[in-house]
Parts: sequence; structure tokens; C-alpha cells
Amino acid sequence: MKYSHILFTGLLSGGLLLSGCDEELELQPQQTLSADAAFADELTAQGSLIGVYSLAQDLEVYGSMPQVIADYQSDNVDFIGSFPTLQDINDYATLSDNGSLSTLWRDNYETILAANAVIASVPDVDDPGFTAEEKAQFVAEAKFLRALIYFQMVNLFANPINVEGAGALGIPIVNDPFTGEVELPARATVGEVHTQIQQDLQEGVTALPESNLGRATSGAAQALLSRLHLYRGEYQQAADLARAVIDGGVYELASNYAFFSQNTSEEVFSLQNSATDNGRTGSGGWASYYSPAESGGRGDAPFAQGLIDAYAEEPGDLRFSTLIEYSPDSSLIFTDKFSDAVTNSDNVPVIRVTEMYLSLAEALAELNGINQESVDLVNVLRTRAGLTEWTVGQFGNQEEFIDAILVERRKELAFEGHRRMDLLRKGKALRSSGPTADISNPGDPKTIMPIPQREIDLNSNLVQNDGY
Amino acid sequence: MKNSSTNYLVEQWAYQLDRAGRWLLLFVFLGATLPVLAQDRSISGTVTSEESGEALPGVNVIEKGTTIGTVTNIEGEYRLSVPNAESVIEFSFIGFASQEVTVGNQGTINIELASDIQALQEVVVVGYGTQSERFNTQQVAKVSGADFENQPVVNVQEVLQGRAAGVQVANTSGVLGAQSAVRIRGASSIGAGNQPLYVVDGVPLNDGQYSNTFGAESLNPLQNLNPNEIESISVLKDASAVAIYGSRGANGVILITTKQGSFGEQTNINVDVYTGWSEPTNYFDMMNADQYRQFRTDYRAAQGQDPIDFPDGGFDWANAVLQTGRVNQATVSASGGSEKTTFYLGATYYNEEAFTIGNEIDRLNGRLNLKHEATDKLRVGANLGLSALDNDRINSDNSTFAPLTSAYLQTPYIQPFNDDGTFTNTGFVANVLAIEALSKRELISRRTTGNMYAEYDLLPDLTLKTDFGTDMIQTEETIRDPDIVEPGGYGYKRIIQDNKWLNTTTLDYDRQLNEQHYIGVSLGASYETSTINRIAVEGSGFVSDLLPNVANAATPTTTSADEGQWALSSQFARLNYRFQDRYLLEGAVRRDGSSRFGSENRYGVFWAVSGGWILSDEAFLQNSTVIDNLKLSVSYGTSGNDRIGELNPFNVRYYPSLGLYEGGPLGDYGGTPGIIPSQPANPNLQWEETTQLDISVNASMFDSRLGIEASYYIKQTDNLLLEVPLPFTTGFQTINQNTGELENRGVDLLINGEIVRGQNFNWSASLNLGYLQNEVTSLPDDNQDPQGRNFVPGTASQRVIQGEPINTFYLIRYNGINPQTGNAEWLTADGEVTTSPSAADRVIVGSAIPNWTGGLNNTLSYKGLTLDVLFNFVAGNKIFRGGQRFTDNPASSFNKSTALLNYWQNPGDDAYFPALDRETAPAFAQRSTAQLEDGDFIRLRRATLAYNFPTLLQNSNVFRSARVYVSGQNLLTFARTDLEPELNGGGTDPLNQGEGFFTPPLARTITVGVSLGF
Repeated sequence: MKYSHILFTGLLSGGLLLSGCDEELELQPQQTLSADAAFADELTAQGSLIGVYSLAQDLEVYGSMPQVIADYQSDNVDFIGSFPTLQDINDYATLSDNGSLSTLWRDNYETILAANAVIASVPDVDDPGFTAEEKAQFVAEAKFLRALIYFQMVNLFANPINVEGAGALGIPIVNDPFTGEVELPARATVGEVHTQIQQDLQEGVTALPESNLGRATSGAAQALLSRLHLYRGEYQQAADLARAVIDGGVYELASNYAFFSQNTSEEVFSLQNSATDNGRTGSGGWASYYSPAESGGRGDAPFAQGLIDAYAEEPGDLRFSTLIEYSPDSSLIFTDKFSDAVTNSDNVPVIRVTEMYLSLAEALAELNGINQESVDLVNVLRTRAGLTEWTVGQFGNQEEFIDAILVERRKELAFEGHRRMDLLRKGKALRSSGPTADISNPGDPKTIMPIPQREIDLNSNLVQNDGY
Repeated sequence: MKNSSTNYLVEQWAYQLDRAGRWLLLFVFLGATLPVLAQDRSISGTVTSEESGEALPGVNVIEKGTTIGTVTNIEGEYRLSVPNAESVIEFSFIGFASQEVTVGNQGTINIELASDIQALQEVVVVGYGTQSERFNTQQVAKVSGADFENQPVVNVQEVLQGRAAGVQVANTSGVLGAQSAVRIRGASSIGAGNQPLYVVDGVPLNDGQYSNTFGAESLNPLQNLNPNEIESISVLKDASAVAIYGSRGANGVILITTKQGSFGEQTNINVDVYTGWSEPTNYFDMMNADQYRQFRTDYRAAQGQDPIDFPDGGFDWANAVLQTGRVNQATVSASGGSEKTTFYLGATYYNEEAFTIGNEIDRLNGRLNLKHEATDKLRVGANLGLSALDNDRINSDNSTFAPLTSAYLQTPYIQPFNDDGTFTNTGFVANVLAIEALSKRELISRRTTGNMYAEYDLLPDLTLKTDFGTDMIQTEETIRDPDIVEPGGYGYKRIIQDNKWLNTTTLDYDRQLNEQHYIGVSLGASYETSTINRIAVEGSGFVSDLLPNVANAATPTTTSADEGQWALSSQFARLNYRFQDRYLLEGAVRRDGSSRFGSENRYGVFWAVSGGWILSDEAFLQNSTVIDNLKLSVSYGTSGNDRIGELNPFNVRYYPSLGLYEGGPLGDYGGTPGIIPSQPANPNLQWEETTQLDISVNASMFDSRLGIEASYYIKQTDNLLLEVPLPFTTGFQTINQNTGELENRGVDLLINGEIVRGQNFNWSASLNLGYLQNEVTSLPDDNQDPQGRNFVPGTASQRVIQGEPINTFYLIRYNGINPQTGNAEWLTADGEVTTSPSAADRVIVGSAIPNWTGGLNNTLSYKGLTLDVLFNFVAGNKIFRGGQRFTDNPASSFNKSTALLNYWQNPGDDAYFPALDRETAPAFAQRSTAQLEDGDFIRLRRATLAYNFPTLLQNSNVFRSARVYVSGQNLLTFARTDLEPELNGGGTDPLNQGEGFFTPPLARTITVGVSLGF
């Protein structure tokens, strides 16, 4: 009897000490998904991918802030408004503690890291219904978005490759998801960032579908690659890819300028916004910045006189007359490309096929000088704009020809985030007049943004841009 | 009227001290008037041990009720002179039962003392067991249920206030059911919870946020507990006491034991009923309508502003929201036991209507405790507490729906009623009379806390116990505002359930091996988990105020449901060893695995060792005539704080270490639902860890008439949880990391004295005192002030600064009104006078943490009459009165303090407010030390006078006892401030202590009651 007691006791006390086990302590939340659960099956993997698009909608990513900042730095818009951080950027007086830039840096890297998680985790999702092709597509979509953000960031925070070459400091490349271990990445060179973008997009050209509304497609990847090569001065590749997009049969020029936000075949890649799902966080959005108060906007970025003058050189340009909104209160002219300043439901025109016409025309002009094909490409656009056609004979030399194409590009793509880089990559000053014109040349310190001071403080491997 | 001059404050203080001094003098006087009469009669004899027959040296021989006495010599002999034959001599000796003998005609009295197991077995409840008080090396403050009998205490935190050394209880407000911040030996956390662990009969209680904030803090999560059911409370303080609670011990542990019956006891039935009245302890003095119109007209004219044509008439809003509060409580209990079974059965109904309109609480508590000896080896038992509570809530503090806040701020000419008697809509500052009459703000809370256990003696000294416990709380919160309060009407309903269960199994071995060695071993394991669910609906747009339910709302604005769960899996052990009953050694260890910890730090091990030495049993003290008992103990060890994530948003509160994705409107795109990363993975996240050294002395002297317990402790907490910024290249902004250190060091002192021990008159006093120094020793360097000190932002008035106490006020210094210029003046950071200070002029101006806390309890009894008086006090802290920034603002339309009427007019004026035309007048109320006051106070917390009817007992077969009593709460306050000194609107928030914003003051309550025993 006594021995059995002792035995019992021994067993019991042994049992007591072993009773704790890990499974009981690994609890899963109910209203959020753990990082593992976020890639448990195809549905959650898709949710994680959709989340990357959702992050790209953010005000500071493709919700207009980086594009408005780029416009403030160049010559299409004037600065009106009350945001001191944006005024500093407009005045080339930014300091490294600019709050708008810090938020912009944060939200763009948030999007990159969310894409990284998709890229790293989707291939290992254990779901029989989730095919290898679908996985490849999801990864390619995430890589497309990552490339888009890297491209935007390197353009804002680093000197263009034509200014300081491929060895200039770019931005940190972070291709792994965050798992709790804090890495302190240094800035990759501009060349390395471009290579990364190219790799990410190259994969998309084959793995992405031909069409997929509001999502990345092979055409979008080709078009973005074309833009990258154009910016790098690699005109043959730029031309080939632009031609592939134009000839691909998926996209065609819209007949008039009512296509914005309509998801017509004009649009190669547009982020889809709605009244309840957009990048507005209370402080802006495409229409908010670019529309006057009468339409419910902030009226912060009206036409600059230089842009009005550019259109006025050839009267009757439908890109002016049908796409502006005159504000009687302020006597200023605003673009009407983004019409809904009340709920900010306008889609984001990231890439449209018109850009490919212009890129192809420009690349061919760079490669071949004055040529009929370039003239024909531009004439399609001019006809749509209600202007007379060009002839090969009207241009005296290649430079004049290319400049004319760039003017067309300016008038076609105004307010869509292109102007600053179109000037810088061509070695042109961002402003031709005004008090800051002298410090707006490519390579001048404040033509590129400072790395946010907060990041410099937290990451000793980051080197600040000159002049900050 | 308030006067800011320092002299005035000093005078006030002196005056208050003088008043306090008179009380003290009275006590001293009473103590000094002990009658010592002389009519000597000589007695002598020998005292021996009943068991061994040996002489007992050192036995106390005292004439009962006097200080006349002696001790036996080495032969056990004594000689004593007593006044007369009626004198009673008491023989007492540690370890032996005392004996009393009436002298009569005897000249020689020989006594045999029987050893008293009972005396050796006076026990103290400790973690997972009890210990002999004599041999205990843990530092435990004890509060007995008898200490607060017949006192209108309604929550458990109140019970502790002023009764336990080193335990600070900061009342939040006079709102019924308001939170109290309890700090045991100082605050030891910045970014997690600071509250101690409450354990009732072995069941650790859930104490989350179960109610909405309504402008202040959420309500006390323990408001369902009924202090009437408490037999005793142990507050575990040092490492050796709390280590056995492992990752939950660092903030201290409060063990509550509920009442039990006794074996073989006749059934006792007790009925206790009281009723009472309450009023606020103090008021703000606000302008009436005439004063307001005059002041604002004068002010606007002086400032060159256009005059306003103010409406006529006036209304005294403050008077309209205050009333005489009422409190009633009735308790019926029965307890007793047979040879095998004991029981305690009790029910209490408590109802209180506050002095603020619209605030009422009803609570019903029931308890059944049962113990049964099934065989001589098997015991089973259960403790079950049930409670239902209905709290008719009001807003308070930072809410314009709060009766007091709005009454103070409401423009005094605004009327609550239209001419036809209907309520007006008074705009931003709501018509609080309409809210009281028509709105509903109700919290219903039901709680079931209980446990069942079985104990089996495997061997005579080896006991196995398994205990299954549960704590289930459910709250239901309803808000319904009518059209006049919220246009269109507003409705809200939230139901929270937090259900815990746990199992604890222990194995206890306890054996006196021989005369020299004793050993006690406890091994245990426990698993505990709790699941919380919250379901809320909210809507607006009602067709009629007569539709109470939120489901009738046209527009649902919220429909939410969320759930959280945590689990704790633990093993623990304790070893006790003593040698010759003099040298004591204890070791405890606990290993805790928690679902809240990161996967890399899933388990934490906590430990403590302590040693004690009973010096009074050594030869050199054994014969001391002064010292009865003297024990020295030292402990050192660790404990943790697992409340990490507690301050996080609800949806991640229980999963602070997991990388998380969230869906909802932030994650969708193009009409497809999506998820986005919302929390970084934090696999290294762990508990905060406190290491504590404690050196204590326990002494009992003069025949146990003087008891002293003194402790010195150093508590060092590291791995403090703080939010640390991440490089954005991680994809996240911040992460909670275990970084940062702080230290609490101090002294706890308890002095018990039986000042008079007589037959008819007894007077005992107990003073407890805690001295505390808190210092934050290390913080991350991402936030630095201009002086280069690391800090963590707190409120607009206080922050955590390295090298200073937590809750350090950081403000511009106000320098008063210049009597010559009539301008308000402040000081720059360098101490120079300025009329236009800036944020850069903020400096450290004190801390919300008091250096001194304590209580003084006096119990005087004369025949059947007992007076129990409890004072409690704090000193060395600052309080910030945020509401003053509004009542002192001349420019706003809000009502103003009458203090502003004392504005500067002529050179030499000692004014409160600047000259009306000066540029400093509009800026006068800016945040500065003008709103900061000394928080020191002494409060007559509770005084109870009770009378026991002895004759009733003898002449009646019905009553066993009968008692009437009258009790007062917060009757007197001596403070440096004229207003409520107990200001803590931030409740338990570690970053917001000692601040108030129109926080309702505590109630002054008088109750009368009767208690009958059958």
C-alpha cells in the first residue's frame, strides 16, 4: 500500500513537471492573421497580394503625394497651399527632417516589404488547388509592384543615371520580409537598383497574364521596362519594348480625353480607386491636390504659367481645352484629369499607352534622328488633340526634333507624375525661370530629396545626399 | 478663494498642521492619563512547563490592564507587587498558552504553562499555501477582515488604502466604481501594466478593461468583489513572496482569502444593515451669471474687443448636478460546521446613489464556501462567489457629457429648460440635466469566481491537492442618447465576456525530521487560460426616443466582434528548511510559459532565496525582558511582469509577439478583400524582470505590546517594455522591445502598539509607513530633451525622464503676477522672468509619485464602545489640475473660476489674475506650474464608533450579539491644496498619474448601521 502510494506520487510529480507544452501556448489571434496564416492557402495568399496593391494606393505611394512633389519640383504647376513641408520642396529649401518625405519613405517601404512577404512566402504555400502558374503570377505581380516602388523611390532620392552614372548612391534594396531581426541596409547604387527593377519586371513579362483589370499584366511590365530603359538612355531596348506594347493588340489609343478612370484600352496599368477605397488619408489625393476649391479640392497645384504658355503656342489643343477646370474664385487654371475631389475615387493612371507612343517616338529619334515613324507616332496623338500633323521637313535637326517630342510628352502626360524625370533624364533644368531656376539643374543638390533624418539616425549605414 | 502666494500656502499648511496637531495632542493626552494607583500586595512563585516540569525562565508576568510586570528568572521564579486582591496576573511566554489568575488572598502562585500549538501555528497566507508567521521569511503585509468590519468599504482596493506599508492606493475619482491605481513598492513598469496580481482563494482574477472610458478611465475591473466576504488579505511584497508567482509577481500579489466556517461550530447568523449619506469633499468656486457677464464685458473692453450683448438670467449648474448621495447595504451571513463539514453562506445587497446626479450602483453578492472531510485522508471543498452589478454611469473628466465637467464649464446664463419646460440643447457643452433625465449609460456586470479542490494525504506528511478554478466575467454596456442630446438619437451596446479557467496541482511535504531539522517541500504545476470576447453595435438615427434598442437605429455605425486569448503554463517549487527553529531558509522557483511571450523567449524562470534568523531564541536574548521576539530576514530573487501588450489596441493585445496581418477597409483593393501587415513579428519579446533585495526586521516587545516590522528593499527592473522606432526599411514604424531599466528603493515600516491594555479600556494603534524613491535608470535614446536626457513622452504635462522618477512633471514655471506691472510672469528654462514663455522653457518640476505613503489606525475601546480611526497620508508628490486651464481662461465662453475676479488693478496688488488689458491675460491659463500643486495630504479616511450591547446578550435567547455603529469616510482633510488632493484621472495608466480634469472629488460619507448576531 505504502509503496503504491510512493509510486503514484512519483508518477504524479513527474507528470506535473512535464505538463507544460508549447502547443497550448501558441495561440492564434481571431481578428488578425499571423504572418504564417497570411499564407496558409491560395485565398489568404491572394489577400496578402491584394494588400500590396492596397498599400500602393496610399496617399504617399501612388495616391498622388510623390507625384505632386515631383510636379512641385518642376515647371508644370505652381505651389499654392499651406503645407510647409511641401512648400520647402517647392522652394528647394527642404531639410532632411521634412515630415512629408519621412512619411513617403515609410509608406513606400511598407509596400515593398509587403511585396517581399508575398514573393518569399507564396512559393511555399501548401494548397493543392494553388497551381504553380498561379503562384508564379502572384509572385510576378508582387515583383511588378516592388519594381514600380523602387523605380519611384530611386527617381526621387537619387540622381538620375545620366547625371552621376550607375555608381551614384541609390536607395536601400530590401528584398526579404521582416521577421524580427532588424537589418541596417546601406544604399545600393543607382545601377544596382535599376538592375533589381529590371529583374523584377523581366519575370513579369512572361509570368503575368495579358490582361487583368487593375492588376499587373505582361504589357504593364513591358511598358515599365521601356520607361526604365528610356530613363537609362538605352533607346533600342526602350523602343523595342514600347513597340511590343503598342503592337501587342491589347491596348489602343482612346479616341478622346474622356478615358481617365474609365478603364479603357488606353490604360496599361491604373490603380483602381473608389469612393470607399482610395489613398486619401484626410490630407489629399490626386483630385484633392489638382482640383480647385470649387470642386471640393484643395486647389494646391494649379497650372504654372509656363504650361499654359506651352499649350497656347498651338491654339486649339484639346488636351488643354477639354481637360481644364477654371477656378473663378482664384482665377487659376486646374487640370480636370482627376474629377472627383469629394471622394477621391479617380483611378491612378500609372501607365497608359500614349506614353509608349511618345517613348517610341523619342527613342527612335535618339537612335535615327529625324524619322518618319516618330513623326507618324506623334501625329496620331496630335490629331487626337485637334492639332495639325507634323511633317519630317519641319524640323531642322535631331535636337530640335527630340525637343518637340518632349514638348508633346509634357502636354500629353502633365499631372501624371512624369515631368520631373523627363527633364532630369534629358539633362534639362527643372525650371527655366524664377528665383530657383539657377539651382534646378540636374545634379544640383536639392533637385533630389534628402534621405529622411530619422532613417539616418536609426541606420548608421545610410549616407545622406549632398547638400542635406 | 485661492491665493497663489507662497506665504499664504505656508500659512495654510501651518494652520492645517495646527488642526492636525490638536488631534494628535488629544491622543497623546489620552495615552498619558493612565491611572497608576498604589495599594501594593506582594506575590511570588515559580513558573514551570506542564509537559517537562522544567522551570521556564523569561516568562512575562504582568498585572493585566497595566504596565506593571516582570519576567521569571533562570529558575523560573518571579516576584511582583500588585495593587489589590482583584488584580489579575497574566503569565505569557512564546510557545505557551497564556494563563490568567486572579490574585485573591494568595501570596504564592505557582503556574504550569501548557505549550501552545496554536501560538506556533498562527499562520500567514502566502503563495500556494500558508506558513507559520513565526518562521516565515517572506515580507507579507496582512489586512484582516476584522480591520474594516462595520466600515462602508465597497471595493477591495479601498480596504488596502492606508493599511499596508508600501502599498499606495491612488483613488481615481468620486465616480461610483472608479478605478484605483494600486502600487506595491512603487511603479515598476512604463510600457506595460503596473497593477498587482489579485488572487481570490487561489484563483488569479481577470482585470482587463471591461467598460468604456466615458471621458475618464474605464471602471474598476474588480468592482464586483465584495469586501464583506474577505477573511484576510495578504500583500506579497518581496522577492521571496512573489517569486512563486513568476512572471506575474513583479507588481506584487494580493492574496484574498474569503470567509470560512469552523469545524464543530454552532451556526452563527449575522445580519448587518447600514444606511448613509454623502456629499462631495470639495467644489470648484465658479462665477455666477452676473459675475460672468461683468468679468467678460470688462475683459473684452480691456482687450479692445467688441462688446457682446450677453443674455439675462442665470442658472447654477453646479448646484443642479449635485445632490446628497445615499448609500445602503444589507448583509446576511451564516457560518458554522459539523465535525466533518464547514460552511459559510453570505449575501450582500449594496446600493449607492452618488452625490453627482445620474450615478448609481446596485450590487448583489452571494458566496458559498464549503469544506468537507470525506475520509481522514481526503478533503474536498469549494468556494463560490457570485455577483451581479448594475452601474448607472456618468461621464466624467474630459467629456462635455460629464455632469461636473459641464456644470463647471457651462456658460452660467445658459438655461437648461425652455419656457415650456422641455430641455434645451446647449450645444458643445451638453445639457447634462437632459442627459441625466433622458439618456442611458448603464453597465451591467456579472461575475462568477470560484474553485473546487480535493486534497489527499498520500502519506501522513505528503499531501496532494488539485484545484480547479474559474473566473467568469460578463459585462453589458448600453448607451442611448435621445434626440435632444445627440440629434437623431444614438445607441450603443457592447457585451464583453472574459472567461478564465485554471488547474493547479500541488504536492506538499512537510516534516519535522527531528528536534533539529524541519523540512517543507512544495511542488506544483498550473495551467491557466482566459478567453475574452467583445461584441459591439452602435448606430444613430432613431425615429423616436421611445425606441431604446440600438437595433432600431437607421444607420449602424459599428458592428464589431473580436476575441482574444492568452494562456500560461507553469511549474513551481518551494523548499523550506529550518534548523533548531531558529535558522530559516527558503527557496522558491517558478517556470512560466506564456502565450504572450515571443517564440524565442517562451519560458521564463524566476527564483528567490531567503533566510531568517530568530535572534530572540538565542541565549543572549532569551532572557530579555524587553524583546519577546526578534527575527532578521533577508531575501533576494526575481519575478516578472507579463502584462506586455496590455496597452496595445485590443485586436493585438494578447498577441504582442506575433507578426500580424489585418484585413478590413485598409487592405482591400479593386473590390477584392485583402490583408496588410499590421504588426511586426517580435520573437524576442519577453516579460519585464524585477530583481529585488529585501532586508527586514520583525520585532515584538514588551509582552507583545509593541510590534515593529521594518524592511529595506531595492527593486531593480530591467527589460522594461518600451516602444522603439524601427528603420522604415523594415516595413514598420515601431516595435515593442525589452529595453530600459528602473529602480524602486525604499523602506516599509509597521509599528503596532497596544498603548493601553486594560479590563475596560483598551487602546491600540498601528502606524504603517512607506518611503519610496523611484528612478528611471535607462531609456532608449531615440527621444532626447534639450538637456540631452532620454525620455518617453507621456501626457502634455508629464513624461518619463531618465534619471528621474516615472511620471515627472515637465512644465513651464509660473512665477505669479508682478505686483508692479500687473503682468503674469513665468520663468525661462534658465530661471529668468519672462512674459512670453515657450515650450523650450519647460523644466522638471516634480513627480506624481509620492515619497511617503502610509496610514495611522487607532482603536480605542471602553467596555462595549469601540472607536476606530484611520488616517492615511501621502507626501512628496505633485498633482496637476488640467481643468484649471479652462476655468482660468478669460477669453473662452466657458464659465470661469471666481479666482479671476481678483485681477490686478493697482500697483502693489497681490492679485491672482493679471490686469485685464495686459498681453499676458489671454495667455494666463497656458499649461504651466500655475496648475500644479503639492499633492501632500493627511485624510481622516475612516472613523467608526460602535457600541456592543452586552446586556441584550444576557437577557435574550435570540441575540448572540448586537451592535450599533456610526461611521464616517473622508471626514477631515489636511492638504496643501484647497481642492481635492487625491487626483488621478489617469487611473492605472503608467504614463498618466496625478492629473485630473474636473475629476469628481471623493465623497464624504456618514453611515449608521446595526449588526446583529443570532
